[in-house]
Amino acid sequence: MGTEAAAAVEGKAKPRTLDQQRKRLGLYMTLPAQLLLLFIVAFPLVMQLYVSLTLWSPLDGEDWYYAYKSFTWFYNYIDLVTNERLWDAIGRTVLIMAVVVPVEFLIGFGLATLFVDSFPGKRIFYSILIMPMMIVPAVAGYMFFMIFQSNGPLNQLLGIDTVWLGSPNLAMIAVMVADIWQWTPLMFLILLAGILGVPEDQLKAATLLGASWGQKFVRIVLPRMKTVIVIALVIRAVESFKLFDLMFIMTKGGPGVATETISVWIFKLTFNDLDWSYVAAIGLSILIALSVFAIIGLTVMARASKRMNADVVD
Amino acid sequence: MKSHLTLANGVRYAVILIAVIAALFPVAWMATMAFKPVAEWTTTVQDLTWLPKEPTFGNYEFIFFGTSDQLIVSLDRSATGPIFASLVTASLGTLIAVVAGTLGAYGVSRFGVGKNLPLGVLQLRLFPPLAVLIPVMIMWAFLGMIDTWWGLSLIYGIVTLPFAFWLMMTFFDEVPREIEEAALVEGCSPWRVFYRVTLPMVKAALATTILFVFILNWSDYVIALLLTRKDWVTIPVYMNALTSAMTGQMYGAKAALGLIAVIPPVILGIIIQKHLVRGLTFGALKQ
Amino acid sequence: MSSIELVGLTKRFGDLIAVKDLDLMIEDKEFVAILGPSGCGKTTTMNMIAGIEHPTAGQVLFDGVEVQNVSARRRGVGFVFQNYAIFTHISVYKNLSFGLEVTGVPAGEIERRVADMAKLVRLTHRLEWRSSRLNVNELQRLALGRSAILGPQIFLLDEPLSNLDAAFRAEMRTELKHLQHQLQQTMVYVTHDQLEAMSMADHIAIMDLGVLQQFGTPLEVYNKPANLFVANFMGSPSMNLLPCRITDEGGEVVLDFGAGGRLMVEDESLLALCKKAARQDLVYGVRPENVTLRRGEKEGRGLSLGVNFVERIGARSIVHLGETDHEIKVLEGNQSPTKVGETLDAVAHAGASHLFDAQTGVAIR
Repeated sequence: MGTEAAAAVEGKAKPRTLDQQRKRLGLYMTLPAQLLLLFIVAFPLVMQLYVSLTLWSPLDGEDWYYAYKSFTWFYNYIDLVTNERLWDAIGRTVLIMAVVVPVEFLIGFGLATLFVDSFPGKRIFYSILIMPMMIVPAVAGYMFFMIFQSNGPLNQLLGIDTVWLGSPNLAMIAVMVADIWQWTPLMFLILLAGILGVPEDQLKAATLLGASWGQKFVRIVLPRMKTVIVIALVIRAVESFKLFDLMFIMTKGGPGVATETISVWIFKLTFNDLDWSYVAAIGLSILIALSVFAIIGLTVMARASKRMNADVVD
Repeated sequence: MKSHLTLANGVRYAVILIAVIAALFPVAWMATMAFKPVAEWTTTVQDLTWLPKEPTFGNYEFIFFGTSDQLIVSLDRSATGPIFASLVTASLGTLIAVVAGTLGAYGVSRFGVGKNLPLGVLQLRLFPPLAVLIPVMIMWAFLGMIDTWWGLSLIYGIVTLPFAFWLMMTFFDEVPREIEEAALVEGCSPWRVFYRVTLPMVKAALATTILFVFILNWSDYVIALLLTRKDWVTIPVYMNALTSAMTGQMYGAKAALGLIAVIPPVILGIIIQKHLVRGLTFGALKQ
Repeated sequence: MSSIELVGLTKRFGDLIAVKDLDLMIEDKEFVAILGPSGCGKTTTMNMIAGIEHPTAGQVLFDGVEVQNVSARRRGVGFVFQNYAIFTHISVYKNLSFGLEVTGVPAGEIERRVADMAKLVRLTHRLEWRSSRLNVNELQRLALGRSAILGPQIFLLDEPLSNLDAAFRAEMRTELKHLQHQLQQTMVYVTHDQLEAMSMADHIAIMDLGVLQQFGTPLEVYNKPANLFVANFMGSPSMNLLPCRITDEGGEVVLDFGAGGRLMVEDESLLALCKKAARQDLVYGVRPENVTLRRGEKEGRGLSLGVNFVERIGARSIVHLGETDHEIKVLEGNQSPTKVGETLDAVAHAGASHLFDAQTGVAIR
C-alpha cells in the first residue's frame, strides 16, 4: 500500500507493488539455474529417447537427426534385458557398493569415535585422515595402479609377488581397497560431525544414571545419529554406483571384462564399439531405474520423518 | 584409573597411527616417485626403495619441456597446456555454478519461486554422468563445444551447480531476515538488498562455496575424457597419455604431474575444513 | 545417611584454577546452596562431587568414604542439569525408566516405579509423549523424576530454575523444598540467584574465583558477611560500602570519609569494631535498610549528603545519595517524602554497622 501511494505521489511509472517486484526479481534470479537445468535435462532426454529407439551409430556417417532411418522400436531395450554383460556389470557394481559402503562406514565410524574428545595432535591427525578424499580421484587411480604392480611397494611390503591387477578377483579387491582408501574419510568426517552433534549433557546424564559406554552408544548416540547415518550411507551408495575413475584407470575393466562396472562398460561401448543408440538405451534405463529407487527412497524417508514427528512414540 | 586411561589412549594412538600410515602410504609413494630417475621407475621388488637413490628433477623437466636427458622418447605436448586448461575450465565452471547457484538459491530462499530447483538440481547429482553421455556428446558436438574451453566450463558449471545451489541456500537460510526487512522498509529495492546487504553478510560462505566447487571441478576426470580431444585436455586426461610404446607406463612423469594436481585441492580442502561436511552433504549437516 | 565432605578440593584447567583448595562439610539430609557469580567454580565443584570431573587434588568423601576415584556411573548421585538434558528422542516413560533399565532392574518393578514417580512429578498423563513435546515446566519435573527414581541419597542440581519464568520459579522453589522433604536426601544446589539460595537452603556456600568465601546459614551470611565480596554479593539493593580512615581526635574515635564527611563513632558495637581494627584504612559497610535519613542532625552524627534520585520500586523506595566513592543507598517506605536536591543526614542504626579491612577485605569482628 505504502509503495503504491508513494509511487502515485511521485507520478512515475512504478506500477508494481513490492510483492510483485520481489516475485519478478525472484524469477530473474532463478533464471540462470533454471536454464542450465533445462539445457541439461529436457533436450538431452528427448534426444536420448529418440536415439535409443534406433540403431544409429556415428559410423553411419549421418547426423543423429537422421537416425529415424534405422528406427527399430524397442529392439535395443529388449536386447539389453537379455544381455548378460549388462547384468554382470550391474552385479559387479552392486557387489562393489555392498562391500565398500559398509567397510567405509565401519572404519569411518570407528575412527570417528576416537576423535570425540580432545587429545594432543588431534588437529593434525584429523587433517591427515581426511586428506585422501581431497586427492583427485584419477590421480588416486594412478597411485594405486603403481602400488598394486606386481613389482610394486605393496608386494615388497608384504613379501609376496601377487599379480593384483592381472587377476579377476584380486583386481576387484584392489579397486575396492582404493575406493575405501579414498572415501572412508568422507564417512569419518560426516559421522564425526554426527557424534559431536549428540548433546554432551545427555551423555553425562546417562552416565550419572548408571549407563555404561556401550549402553550410552546404543541408547543415545546411535538413535540420535540415525539421520546422519542415513545421509552418509545414501551419499556413498549413490557415489559408489557411479564408480568410474578409479576402475577405469586401474584396470580398464580388465582383465577381460572381469572388473567391468556399468560406467566402464558404457564407456567402452561408446568409444570402442561406437554403438551409440545402444548406449542411449542403457543410459535411459539407468535414469529410469534410479529415479524409481529415488522416489521409493524419498517416500520411505518422508514417512519415517512423519512418524518421528508424530506426537506419540510407539 | 590413571593407568586405565593411558592404556585407552595408547590404543587410540596406535589405531590412529595405523590409519595415518594407510592414508599417507600411496601419496608418499607418488611423492617420492616424482623425484626418481627412469632407472628407478620400475625395478625388481628387491631393488625397490622408498626414497629415490639419485633424486632428480628430470621428471618435471620432461613433462614441462618435453624432453629429458634420461629418456629417449620425447613428448609432443608438454604439461603446461593441460595445467592451464584445468585451471581455466575449473575456474570458469566454478564461476558459472556459483553465480547461477547463488542467485537461484536466494530466489528460492527469499521469494518462494522456482520450487522445482532444490530437487531438480539434486537429481543431477544422482545420475552417473555416463548415463547421459550420448546426448550430451551429440549436443556438444552439434554446438561446436567439444574440446573447447567454454564447452568444458559449461558442463562443469552444470555438474557442480547442485553443490553451489544447496550450499548457498543453507547459508542464506542462516542469515536473519530482520536485517533485510529493515533495509526494505528503508526503501531499498529487493535487488539492492540482496547485493548490498545480504551478499556482504555471506561473504565468507561464498568464499567457502567457491573453493569447494573449484575442488570438485578440478577433480573431474570422466567429463574431460569425454568432451575434450587435444587442445583442452585437462591434467588427469593428459596423465593418461603419459605412456609410450617403448617405455610403457611413465611412472615418474605421471607421479610428477600427479603431485602438482593434488596440491591445490588438498590446500583448499584444509582451508575450508570446517565446512566440508556441509558441502559434501548438500548442506544437510553442519559441523 | 549421606554426608558430603570436600577436603582440599582443587581443579585446574591448564593455567586456570577453577576451584582452589575447597573444604566443605555438607551434613546428611541438608539442603546446601553453592552461590556465586558465573565463573566462580560452583559448577566445577558440583561436577567433581558427581564425578563428571576428576579433581586435580583433594578428596571427595561420601559418609567419610573417599569417592574421587569412583566413576560417575557408580557414584549413585542424582543430577539435574541446567538445561535438563532430557533424552528428547524417546518418550517420557523411557526417560523415567532409563536409569532403571541400564542398571538391570526387573521389568515389573520398572513399571511400578515409573508409575509411582510419574505420579509424584505429575507426568502420568504425559508418559506416552515424545519428551521433546513437553513444555519447560514439565521438562524440569521430568529431569527431577528421572534422577529421583533411582533413589539417590545425594541430589545435585545445577541452576535448575534459571530457564523458568519468574512466576513459575517461585512455585518451583516451594515444590523443590517440598520434594526434598519427601525424598529425605542431601541436596546440593548451584545457583547465582541469592534469592533462591536464601529461600531454600539450610546452608549457603558462597564462592568467588574458585575460592570459598563463606559458609553459613542464610541469615549468617546476610547479617555477618565474612568479607567484602560476600557483603557486596548478598542483598538487593546491596550493602553500602564506603572507604574510610580511622582517626583519633582527642579521645574521640572518628571515621573520616574524605569528601563524604566525618563520622563520630558513638555506637557501642561500632566502637568495639574500631578498636579491633589493625590498620587505619577501612571499608565501612551498612545495609540500605539500616540507615535512616534525618534533617538537621548535629555535625558528625551522620553523613550529610545530597539526594541524587529516588527509585520507587513499589513496596519500597531506594534513595540514592552522595557521589562516587561515598555514594550510598537508603531504603525508605513507599510514601517516602524525600525529594531530589535535598541534603539529608544519613544515620546508621545502632549495631548495624560493619567494618572491613580495606587491604584484605576481611570483616573485622
